[in-house]
Amino acid sequence: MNPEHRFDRQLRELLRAADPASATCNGTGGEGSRSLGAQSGPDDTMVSSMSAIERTSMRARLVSEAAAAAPITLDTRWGRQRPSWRLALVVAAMLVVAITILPKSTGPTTHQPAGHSVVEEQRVAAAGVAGTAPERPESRIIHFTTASGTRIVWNLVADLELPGGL
Amino acid sequence: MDRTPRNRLFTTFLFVSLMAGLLAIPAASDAQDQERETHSFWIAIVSARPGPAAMPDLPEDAERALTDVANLLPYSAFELIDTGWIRTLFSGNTRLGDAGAFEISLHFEPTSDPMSLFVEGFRVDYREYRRQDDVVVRSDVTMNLLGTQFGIKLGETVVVGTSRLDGQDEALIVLVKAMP
Repeated sequence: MNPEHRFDRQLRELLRAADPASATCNGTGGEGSRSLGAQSGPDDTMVSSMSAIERTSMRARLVSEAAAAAPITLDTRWGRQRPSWRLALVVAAMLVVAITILPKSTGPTTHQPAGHSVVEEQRVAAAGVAGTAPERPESRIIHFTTASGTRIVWNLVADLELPGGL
Repeated sequence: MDRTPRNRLFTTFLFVSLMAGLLAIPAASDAQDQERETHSFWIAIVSARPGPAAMPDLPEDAERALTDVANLLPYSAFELIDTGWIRTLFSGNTRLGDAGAFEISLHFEPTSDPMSLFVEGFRVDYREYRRQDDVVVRSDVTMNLLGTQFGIKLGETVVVGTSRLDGQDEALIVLVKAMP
């Protein structure tokens, strides 16, 4: 909306509130008066006595009253910034996770190879056998632990070709 | 942009958080690398056959391991092919045997027990070779003889062996000792 139109409307409402009987608008004069006249209803009486100085004074009064009615615009501004605080919290949480958890999750101290630790720790008698998943489909890996504690990892491979002259 | 104190506080907080993250992540990575220790592995390649007992001249713990093999498996004649070392922080390899025909590669990871390691990848590959005058010519074809993984304690000698599934006479044994 044109600021001049908005001012004219506010001015008219203010005049009506102060003195409904004298709430008028002037159909002649400047551009603002013409627009005010166009928006005026048929019951409005025309007031030509309001000078430019009075209109300026009234404008200043309207501005000061508007400022008094809504003195703190920070509420609206900070309301828009609340998501930024949430974003900051999310970023901080992600940093904490990255610093504390991720290095440990990939660190060597927590490495637990799957599928072999149990077999490795399993102590069987000299004739005992524990099988594990083979690397080749037609092979078998057997883990022994002898009575004296020697660990033997033996690969039985179907298509093994040992080099001649071993 | 409005530069209220709260706004400046928020900007400072965000900046400090990002900088702390950028500085802390490489530091954590360095600390992770520092947790790894270099380890040395002594390796011996031995051929094994049934027949008259024969034990090569080896360190005492290696001989004891081969004796255990002889007591458990049908092999009693052992012949040393070569010995070597792998010293590495993560993974390494060495060539052993005549003309370096046997390529041993090893990749280990520390475990939660500081006295134990997990050898995540252990391979023995063989590349045929021939002598042409005084020059050794290796074949382009590499034969995988052994590929496995196992746990090992520091100071322990693990016997890693391979043979045919149908009970062929010969076997290849690799003794691996993680030096304490």
